[in-house]
Amino acid sequence: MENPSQRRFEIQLPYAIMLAVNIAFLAFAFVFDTPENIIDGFGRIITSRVILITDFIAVGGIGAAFVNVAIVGLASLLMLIGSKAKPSGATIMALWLTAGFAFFGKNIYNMIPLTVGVWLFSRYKKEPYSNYSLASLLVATLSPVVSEMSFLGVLSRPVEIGIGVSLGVLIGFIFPAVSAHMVRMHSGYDLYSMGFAGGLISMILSTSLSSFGLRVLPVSVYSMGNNFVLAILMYTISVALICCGLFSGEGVKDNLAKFRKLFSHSGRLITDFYFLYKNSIYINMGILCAFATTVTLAIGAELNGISFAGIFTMVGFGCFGKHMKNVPPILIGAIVSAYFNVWYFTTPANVAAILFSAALAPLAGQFGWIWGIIAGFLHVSVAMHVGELSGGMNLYNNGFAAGFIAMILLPIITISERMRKHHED
Amino acid sequence: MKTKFQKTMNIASELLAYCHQHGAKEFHLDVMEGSGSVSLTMRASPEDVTDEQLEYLKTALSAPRQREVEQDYWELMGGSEGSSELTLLGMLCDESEVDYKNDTLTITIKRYD
Repeated sequence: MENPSQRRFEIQLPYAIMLAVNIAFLAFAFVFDTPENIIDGFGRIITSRVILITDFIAVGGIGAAFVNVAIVGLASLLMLIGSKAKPSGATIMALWLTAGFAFFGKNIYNMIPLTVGVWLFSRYKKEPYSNYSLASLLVATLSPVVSEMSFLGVLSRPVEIGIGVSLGVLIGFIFPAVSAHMVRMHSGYDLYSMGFAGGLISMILSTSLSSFGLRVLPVSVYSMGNNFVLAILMYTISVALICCGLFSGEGVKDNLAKFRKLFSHSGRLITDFYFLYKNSIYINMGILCAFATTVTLAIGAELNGISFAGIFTMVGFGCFGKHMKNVPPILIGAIVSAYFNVWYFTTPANVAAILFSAALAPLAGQFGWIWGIIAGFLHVSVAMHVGELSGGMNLYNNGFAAGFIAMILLPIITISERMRKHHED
Repeated sequence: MKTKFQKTMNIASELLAYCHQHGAKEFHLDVMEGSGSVSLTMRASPEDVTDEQLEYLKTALSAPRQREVEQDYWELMGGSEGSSELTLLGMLCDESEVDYKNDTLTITIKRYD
């Protein structure tokens, strides 16, 4: 017979893990930095433009960046618990994604207007806010819009803040409808679907601003030289996640058996590994965390806010579509493309494109390694250019690029597979 | 109301796709719209459905209703030519029943508003 107290623990474990991670980040921040530096740096993070690429570790220092991650993470967790959203693959993914992008664009200031906009939309539709809790977290893809407009430095600060906040609320209001519609365009083969919707919205906004003489200037701020400390942190998280996956629930043997089943899925949206395999998904998430960290270090790149966003996104999607069978082919293609393209191999944009190329993992999962490598290769080229289209105001820029790749490759793959089967018959 | 019926059509399409992928040539679909609910029953005779696949179908369809996921991803339902990730179907439904007897697969789905 089921033990009710054990069940309560089981249901809440994903939120408990996120709570522990955020508290650990808070502690980590105060171990590595003084309270004065953290307060100072946090102020700079809140008032920075956050246009791509803005690494919060470079803007505010390690301590302030981790405090920002913890605050954003705890606020997101409270929002989910408050709206009574149950843990699922989607909510766990959104929490890790949010943590990742709090190193790289999302802060408590720019997330609030967007969330209010989504809440207003739920009121307008006369539906519970919990129905939109996922959109509330992932609308953060457009958080640079709020910060950019608020700290433009052209008009007086109160006017700019008024414009930034109003625009954020408006974007939050339209985002759920737009993103729900866009998902059909790539048939679920772009895991960062919200980034595709965000890319289109920011593209319209950026080109409109540009037409009236307001050009959004690109930013390139990133940190270097923290690989040793941050690698230890990431490998510690990996081991902790793997232990959670192995030792919780029904025990090691059962968890490993469930973990092995996970590889049979292509990863196409929606694949909720958490529902299907419960806590054993933490094994997958931990392995992906170690894998993404190792890839970053192996190519000679820096562990910083940008790569952290990529690694955390990899972890998050470990319960919502990614695994060690569908991710490597994409990354191989992306690394080859980044190595031979005209940019310096480990430039932050190239590193981001490599790590985030895994948005297309379902293509490799569904159609095999060759198509996966091709998708990863093409992704980097597109990702290196579409940022300009959206004026750097779309945080999930690689989701925008991956959407185009999926839209173009999918019909080609489908026809080619159909012809192959026809010839075989 | 339009969205509600579109969701019903997408669910029906996903059920058809599943049976077709497993070699069924004849399909029978009943759709009943009640006040505040809709139920769909699909009957087909698939040629190649294994016990393991049936078990996965039952598990996936028993996924708890997830309205936050439904909101963002329901348009994916019914659009797949290849594999169908059945958990989405489960997340869109409140009740489900799978029965496989005498080579006939019967899938019943119920959704409340």
